Amino acid sequence: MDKHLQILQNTRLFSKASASILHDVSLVLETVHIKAGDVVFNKGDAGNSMYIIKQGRLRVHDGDITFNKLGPGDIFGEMAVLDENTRSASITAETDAVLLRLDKAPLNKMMVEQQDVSKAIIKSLCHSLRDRVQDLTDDQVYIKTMERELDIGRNIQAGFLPRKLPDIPGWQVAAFFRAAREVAGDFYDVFEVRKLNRVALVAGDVCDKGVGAALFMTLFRSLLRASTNAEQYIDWEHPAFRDNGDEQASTTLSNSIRLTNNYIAHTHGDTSMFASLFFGLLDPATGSLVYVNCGHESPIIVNSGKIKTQLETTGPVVGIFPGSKFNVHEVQLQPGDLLLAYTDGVNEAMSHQKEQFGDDRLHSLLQGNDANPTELIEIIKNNIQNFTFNTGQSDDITMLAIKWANSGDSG
Amino acid sequence: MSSDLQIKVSQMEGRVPVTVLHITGQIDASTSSGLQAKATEAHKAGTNHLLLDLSDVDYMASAGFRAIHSINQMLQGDSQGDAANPPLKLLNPSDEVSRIIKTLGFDHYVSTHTDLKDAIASF
Repeated sequence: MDKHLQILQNTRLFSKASASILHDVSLVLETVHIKAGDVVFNKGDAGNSMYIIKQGRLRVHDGDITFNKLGPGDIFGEMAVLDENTRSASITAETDAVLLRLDKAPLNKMMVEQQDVSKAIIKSLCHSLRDRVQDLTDDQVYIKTMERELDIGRNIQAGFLPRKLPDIPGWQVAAFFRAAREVAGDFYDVFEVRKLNRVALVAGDVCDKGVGAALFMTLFRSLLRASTNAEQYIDWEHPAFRDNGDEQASTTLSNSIRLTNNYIAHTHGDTSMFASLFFGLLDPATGSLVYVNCGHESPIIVNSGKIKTQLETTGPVVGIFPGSKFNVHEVQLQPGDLLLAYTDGVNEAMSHQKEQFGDDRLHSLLQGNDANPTELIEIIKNNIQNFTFNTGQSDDITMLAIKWANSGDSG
Repeated sequence: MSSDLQIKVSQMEGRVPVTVLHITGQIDASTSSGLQAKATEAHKAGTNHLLLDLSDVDYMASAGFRAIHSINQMLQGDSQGDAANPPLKLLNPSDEVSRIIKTLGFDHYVSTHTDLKDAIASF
């Protein structure tokens, strides 16, 4: 028993306790040996004992999230013993450990019989509470700082989406983007490629979520833009900036996607970050669309409420497989055709019942519906919103729609 | 919030020793680090061949595929490994996960099996 006295004296709870209290407490302590990796208790368990750590290190956590690490002299589990609530966090041993267990019944008995024990415990709880209030205040300050940083990030990232969609005579274009978190891995782009008299259409989805995906989104977007219009950025007055009918759109597309893939795989391959991409070059005069679909959701071509075709994948995702082949395909659009490219945040939007929005629902919104791009995106957006009502948005949602207006439509 | 990923580890002997990770749950942005950590643990303990049993994985987000690529790279090390016989293989993905494997083009880089014995023998 005496062997427990010193460890008791070193705890916050009993550091000021009299020799007789220490003696009484040491009589009711049970020694518990646990192995590294053992769980002492789980969050939600009933709390029947508190513990004093004699040897070893333990982790206070909820699943993968660690709140605190504990070592010799630390006490845990006292709250649930006193307020008879369940455990507020889990405790797992990081090393082999020796604990002194103080069960609820003898502790209650001592608190009733010895005022000093009660006082010591109240004091200890006040101390813990003060610490936690201070921690929370520090956390709040930290969170505010991070929120400001994320806000800056979100604004900068917004600059990586087109501020204004280009006017393409005879065509209607609309886009929608909503991040699941503060920053996103999804992106879309529409830009002119004057050397080819074409317009680039991009919908992309960088893997994973949050800040990492957002950083890579800026990289993918910039590489695609810069490599497609390389001449323009090297020399603003270069003739290639203007019409250059000699170059094949398929060559530009192929070079751009291979450069982007090989650059990221070579330079950032160790991060395993990749993007699925639809990337097309449209000739607005003829309706010819050359494209690659790199592991992306298949864009849909619809005309007068009838789905004509979907542009299936022509190669793997971009950024992790160096030397990948990306086959360039071509589709001929007709007046009245509408192309919808989107990310999986649309078809995989999840309802409260854990059901996915799915391709069928998306297709049914397109069928029998001759809406223009703006109206169509609004319809899809509203349907997803109703479907996921009361459920948090789990993934970024991006849609890009372009329609070759019929002569009667406003261009 | 997704539930936690459960991963059981077992050892099997083919031509080479193979560590099998039996995964239950959804592999997404919040759970993929758990898979990565388990694979890293196995690799540090000496494993060079890993089979991911996906029989009880009902959903895999892009973060899961990122983890698969990362684990494959870790197992290959600097040598880039034997391209004909990669060190990471998959067992029994669901129809939906198989569809995504194909869409993303991972089928060219990671082989998939439907029988445990065949999978172990293939290493």
